[in-house]
Amino acid sequence: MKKTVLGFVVLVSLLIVPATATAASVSGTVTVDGGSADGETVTIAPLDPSNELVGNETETTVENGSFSYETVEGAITYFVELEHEGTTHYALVDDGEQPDFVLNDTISGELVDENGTPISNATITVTSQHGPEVTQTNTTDGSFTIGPVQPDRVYTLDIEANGATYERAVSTGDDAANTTFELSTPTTDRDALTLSGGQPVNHLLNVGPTQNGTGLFVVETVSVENGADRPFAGDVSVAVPSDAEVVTGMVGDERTSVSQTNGTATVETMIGPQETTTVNVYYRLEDRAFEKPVGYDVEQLAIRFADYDMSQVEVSDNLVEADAPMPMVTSTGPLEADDQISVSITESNQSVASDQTDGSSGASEFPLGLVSAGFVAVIAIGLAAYRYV
Amino acid sequence: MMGGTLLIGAALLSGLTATVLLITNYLRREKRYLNAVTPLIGVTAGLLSLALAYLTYQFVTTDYANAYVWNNTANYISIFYRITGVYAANQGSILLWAALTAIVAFWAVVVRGLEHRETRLVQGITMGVVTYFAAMLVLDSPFKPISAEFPEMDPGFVPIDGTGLNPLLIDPYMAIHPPIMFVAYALLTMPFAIAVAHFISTVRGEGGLFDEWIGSVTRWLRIAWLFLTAAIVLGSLWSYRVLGWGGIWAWDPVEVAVLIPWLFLTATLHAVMNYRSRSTYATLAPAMTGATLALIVYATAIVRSGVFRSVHSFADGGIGAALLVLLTITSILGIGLPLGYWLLREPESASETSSPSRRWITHVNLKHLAVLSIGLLGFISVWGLTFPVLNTYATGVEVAVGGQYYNLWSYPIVLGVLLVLGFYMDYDVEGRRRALLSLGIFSLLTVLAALVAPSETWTLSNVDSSDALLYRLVGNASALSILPPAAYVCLTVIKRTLEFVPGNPNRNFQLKQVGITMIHIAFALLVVTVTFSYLFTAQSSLVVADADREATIEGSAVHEVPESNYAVQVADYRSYQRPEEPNVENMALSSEQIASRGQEIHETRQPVYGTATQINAGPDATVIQLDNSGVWLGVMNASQTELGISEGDQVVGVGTVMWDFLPELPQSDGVVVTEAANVGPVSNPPAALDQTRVEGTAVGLTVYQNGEQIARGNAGQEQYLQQGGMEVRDVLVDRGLTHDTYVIAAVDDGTVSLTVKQIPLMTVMRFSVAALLVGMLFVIVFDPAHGLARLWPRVTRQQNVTETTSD
Ligand code: HEM
Ligand code: HEM
Repeated sequence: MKKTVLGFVVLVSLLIVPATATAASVSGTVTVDGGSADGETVTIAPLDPSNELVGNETETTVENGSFSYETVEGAITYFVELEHEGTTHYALVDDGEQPDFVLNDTISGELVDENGTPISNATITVTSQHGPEVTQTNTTDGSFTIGPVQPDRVYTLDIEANGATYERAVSTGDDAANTTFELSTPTTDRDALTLSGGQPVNHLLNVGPTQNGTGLFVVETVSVENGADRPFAGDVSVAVPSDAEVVTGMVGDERTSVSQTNGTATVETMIGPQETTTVNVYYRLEDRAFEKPVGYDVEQLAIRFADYDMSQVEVSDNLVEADAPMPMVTSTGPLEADDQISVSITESNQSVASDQTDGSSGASEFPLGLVSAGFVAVIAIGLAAYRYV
Repeated sequence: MMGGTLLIGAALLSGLTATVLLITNYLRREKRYLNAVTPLIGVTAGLLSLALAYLTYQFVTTDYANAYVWNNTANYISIFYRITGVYAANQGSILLWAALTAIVAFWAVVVRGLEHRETRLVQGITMGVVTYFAAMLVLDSPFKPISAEFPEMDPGFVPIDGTGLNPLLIDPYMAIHPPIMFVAYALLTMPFAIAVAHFISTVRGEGGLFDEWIGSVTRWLRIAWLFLTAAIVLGSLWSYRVLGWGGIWAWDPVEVAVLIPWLFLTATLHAVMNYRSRSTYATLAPAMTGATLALIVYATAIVRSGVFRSVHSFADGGIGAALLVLLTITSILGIGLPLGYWLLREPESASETSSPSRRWITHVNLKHLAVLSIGLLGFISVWGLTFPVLNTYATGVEVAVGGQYYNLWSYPIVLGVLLVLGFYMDYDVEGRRRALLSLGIFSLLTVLAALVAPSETWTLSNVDSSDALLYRLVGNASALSILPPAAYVCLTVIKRTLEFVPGNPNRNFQLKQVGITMIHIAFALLVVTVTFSYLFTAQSSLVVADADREATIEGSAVHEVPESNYAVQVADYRSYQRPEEPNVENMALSSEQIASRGQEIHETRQPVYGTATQINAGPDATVIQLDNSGVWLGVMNASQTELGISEGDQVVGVGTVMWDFLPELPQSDGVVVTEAANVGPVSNPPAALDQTRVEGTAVGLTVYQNGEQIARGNAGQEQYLQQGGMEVRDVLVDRGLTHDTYVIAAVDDGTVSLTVKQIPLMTVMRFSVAALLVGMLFVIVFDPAHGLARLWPRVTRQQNVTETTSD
C-alpha cells in the first residue's frame, strides 16, 4: 500500500515534468570590419506568429563580439536591433536561429542633377529591408558615405533634395560603393499631371454625416499621375464648395496641410516621375447639401455615401445611381473641369454608429446563445431521461 | 518612536510565557499557573492589535519619524490609502498577520478553555506561531526610526514628505484583498495546530485528538476556505482591472502559490468529511489538515523571497530568511511528522480495515478518487513552481514555466475532476448500471467534443510539432470538450439535490445541501467561463488623433472601432496633477517648527515658509524676517526688487539652516540661507519645492455598441513621478450580461490610442464565484453535524460548554 502510493507520486512527478517550457538561450555575434561593437546595445523583440510583441523587449550589450538572450515562450521570430556608432542594424531570425551581424560593407556615391552637377544640401535616410531606419545623413557637396553596413542586403535610400524626395535602392555586395545617383530637378508644371488610376475611379468623393449628424463630411480624392520624366513638386488643387471648411489633406498616406482660397483647396504635392499618387482633401459642410465644380476633366467621377441610403440622396442630372454594393453615384459620362455637380441628402437618419454586425472579427465571436442553449438542453434532456427511462 | 517595537516586544514576552506555560503544562500533565494563560493570550492579542493600531495612527498622521511610514505613504495620499498603506509592505503585513493569528488564538481559548489537557498543546502550538511572528517583528520592526534610512542625518531629522505608496496599490481593492487573505491565513493556524497536536499525541501513544475535535477542525477549515476563496476571488477581480497582470488569472508565481493551498484545502475538506477514526482517512485527513499552513507559508515565502519574478512582490526582501525558517518548522510539523508517522508507525492493517469488497466502485473509492484528483490538480502547480528551482540547482539552466504548462496539464485533470464529481453525485442516488451508463455517455461526448473545433479559436493552444506528444494532444483539443463534463455535473448535482432536499424534514440538512449544490455547480460553471473568456476575448483598436480638440466639440465624431461593432466618442480630455493645490504646509516647515527643532537641524537643508515681516537688503544679500520670529530667510546675491517680495507677503524657500549666522542682526537666532531661485511667494513656490507626485491624463469616453450607448466613463493613465515615472492605466469596464467591454486608453499629447476588448461570460463568472461563497456560507451555518446554527442555541444557553461542540 505505502509502496504503491509512493510509487504513484514519483511516477506522476516524472510524467508532468514541464519539459516543453524550457527557455533556451540563444547567442549571436557581431563582427565589425576594422572595429568592434563591444559595449554597444542590442535590443531583442520576441514576436508571435502575427508579429505582435510577446512580453517585453529586452536589451543586452555586446561583449567580445557576441551577445545572448533568452527565448520566450510563444515567440516564433526575434527582431534583433543593434546600435552601432549612430547606425542601427536589424536582423530577423526564427526561433532557434542565431543572429549574426556582419558590418563590413559601405554605401557611397554622389548625387548629381541631370547635367551631372553635384547636388548640394541633401538629406539621405537609409532604411533596411525590414522597414526601420538605419541612419540619416546630410551632404552639402553631393557625396556621401554610409557604413559599415551589412553585406548582401537591399537598402533603400530616401533622398530629399531640390524640394523633392527620391527613392533609390542599393544592394550591398553588388556595387554599393561609388554609385552616381542622377536626381533630375523637379518640375512645377501642372500640365505634367493627368488624372489616372484610383479606386474605383480617378476622382472620388466620399460623403458621410458629420459627428453631430447635421452636416456633411466629405473626403475628395483625386488620383494624379506625373507624366514627366522628372519629379513633380508643386501644388495640386481641388475645387471645393465655397462654404466648405477644409479640415486636412493627405498625399499618398501622409498628412499635409491644405491652404484654402475661395473654392479651391491647394495641397503641396510631390510625385515621382511616371508615378501616381492620391491627393485627398477632407472638408466639412454645415448643410446637408452642396454644389461644386468638378475641378478636373475626368472620364468618370463617383460619389460614395456612408451611412445614407440611396433613397435619401438627390444628385444633379449628370450623376446616376451606380450598380454597386454600397450607395454610390457615378457621372453619366466624361465631365469637364467647370461642370457643376450637386448633392443633397434629404430626410434625416440617426447616424450615430451604423449597426452592421459584420464588422466584428467573426472567428472569435463567441456563440453564446448556441452554447448556453446546448448546455441547458443537455441538462434538461438528462433530467428527463433519468426520470422516464 | 521605539514605542511600537516595545509593544511588540511585550507581546513577544507574554506570548512566549503563554507558550512555555502551555507546553510544560501539557507535558507535565499539570495545571501550574494555567489560570494566567488565557489573560496572557489576551494581552498578546491586545498588544499586537495595539501595535497595529499605533502603526495605523502613524500612517494617518504621516509620522515620518518612522521609516516604514516614510517608505509607504506620502502627504498627497488620502486618509483611506494611508490606512491601507499599513500592510503594503513586508513588516506591516506580518504585523497584521500576527495580530489576526493572536486574535484567533484568543477567541479559541475563550470559547474552549484549557480544561482538557490536549487543548493546552493545541493552544501552545498556535501561540508558538504567534510568538514566532512577534520575534520576527522585533528583529525587523515596522517601527524602525527614520535614521535607519538616513544614517548621515542628525538624530531627530524628520522628512517632510514620504516616498509614497506603490501606485498599483492606490485602489479600493487594497482595502479588502490583503486583509481577507491574512484573515484566511490566521484562521488556518488553528486546524494546523489541532492536526499537529493530533500527531504528537498519537506518536506519544495517547490516541490522538482528531475524533473529539473533528467538529472544530471542520468549522475552522470551512471558514478558512471561505476567506481564502474570497481573497483569491478579490485578487482576481483586482488583477482583471490592473493592466499588465494578464487578466483574472495569469499563472503568476503568486497566483500559483496560493492556488496550491486552496486546492489542497478543498481536498482536505473532502478528506476530513470522510474521516472516521479507523478508516483510510485516519491518517490522511489530519495529515492534510496540518499541511495546509505549511503550503500557505510556502506561498508567502515565494511572494517575499524574490526567488520568482512575480509581479506581485510588493513586500519582498528582508524577512525572507525568517520566513524560510518558519516554512521549515511548519513543514516539519505539518508534513514531516504525519509522513514519518505514516511510513514508520502506522499499523499497516489500519488502512485496510474497511471490509475488502470485490467491487471497485464504492462510495469510499470514489471519495479517494475525488481527493486524489483534486490533489493532482494542486500537484501540477506545486511541480510547476518547484521544478524551475530544482532545475536551476541541478543543471544551472534557468527554465521559465509559462501559463501554457499549467493550462495544458490542468485541463485534462479538470475534465477528470468534473467527470468524477458527476459520477459520484449520480451514483449517490442512482443504481450502478444507470450511473455507469451516463458516465459512459458523457465521457464519450467529451472525447467527441474535443475533436470538434468550429474554428482556430476553439483549440486550446498553439502547439507546434516539437512539443511533447501529450502536450500536442491537449493543445489541439477543442474547448468544446469542457461542456459535456460541466453539463454532466450540473445535471447530476441538480438531480441529487432534487432527490435529497424536497420533503426532507430537517431544515438545516436541506439548506446545507443547497449549499453543496451551489458550490459544485459554481465550480463547473467557473471552469467553463474561465476557459471561454480566455479563448474568446476579441480585441480591436483605434487611434483618435485629435482627441483633445474633439473633446471640446459638442457632439464630436463617433469613431467606429474597426473590426468590431463598437464605436467610441471622446467627450472629455483632461490633464491633471496631484496634489492638486500643493499646500505649503505639507511641503515646508513653519518658522515656529524651525525654531523648535533647534540645533538638531543645524546645517541641514530645510524648506521653510512664513509671512515676511521685515526685509533688510544688504549689498550681497537680502534677509527676510519670518512671522516676527527669530527665524530669517537669507537670500544671497539678490536685491529685494529682484526677489519681488515685500513686507506682508507669504514666502517660502528652501535652504540651509544656520543658527547664530548673523551676529550683527540681534533679532535673528538663525537664518535659512538660500539663493534667489529657491525662494518665492507661497502662491507660486520655487521649482525646488514642486511637489507634483502624479501627472495624469484622462479621456472621457462614450462607448456605443451596435449604435446604442452602453457606457460612459473615464480611461487614461497616471504617471507617478517619484516612483521612477511608473505608469498606471485606468481602464473603462462595462459589465454586460453576456460580455464585458474593456477599454484601455493610452493618451499621448492629444492622441488617444484605444484598445477595446470584448470579454465573454464575465458576469456568469462573477455569479459563479458568488455562488461558491454563498454556498460555503450555507454549509458553514446549516450543516446538521458541525454547523454554526446548531451551536448557537447552546452557546447562548450555557456559556462554558463542553469541548466537543464549541471552539
Ligand atoms: C489572481 C490574483 C491575485 C492573487 C491570487 C493574489 C494572492 C495574494 C496572496 C497569496 C497574498 C498574500 C501574500 C503574502 O503571503 O504575503 C496577497 C497579498 C497582497 N496582494 Fe494579492 N493576489 C492577487 C492579485 C493582486 C493584485 C492585482 C494586487 C494589486 C495590484 C494585489 C495586491 C496585494 C497586496 C498589496 C498584498 C499584501 C502585501 C503582501 O503581503 O504581499 N494582489 N495576494
Ligand atoms: C472530484 C470530484 C468531487 C467530488 C466527488 C466531490 C464530492 C463532494 C461531496 C460528496 C461533498 C459532501 C456533500 C454532502 O455532505 O452531502 C462535497 C462537499 C464539498 N465540495 Fe466537493 N466534490 C468534488 C469536487 C469538488 C471541487 C472541485 C470543489 C471546489 C470548489 C469542491 C468543493 C466542495 C466543498 C467546499 C464542499 C463542502 C465541504 C464541507 O463539508 O465543508 N468539491 N464534495
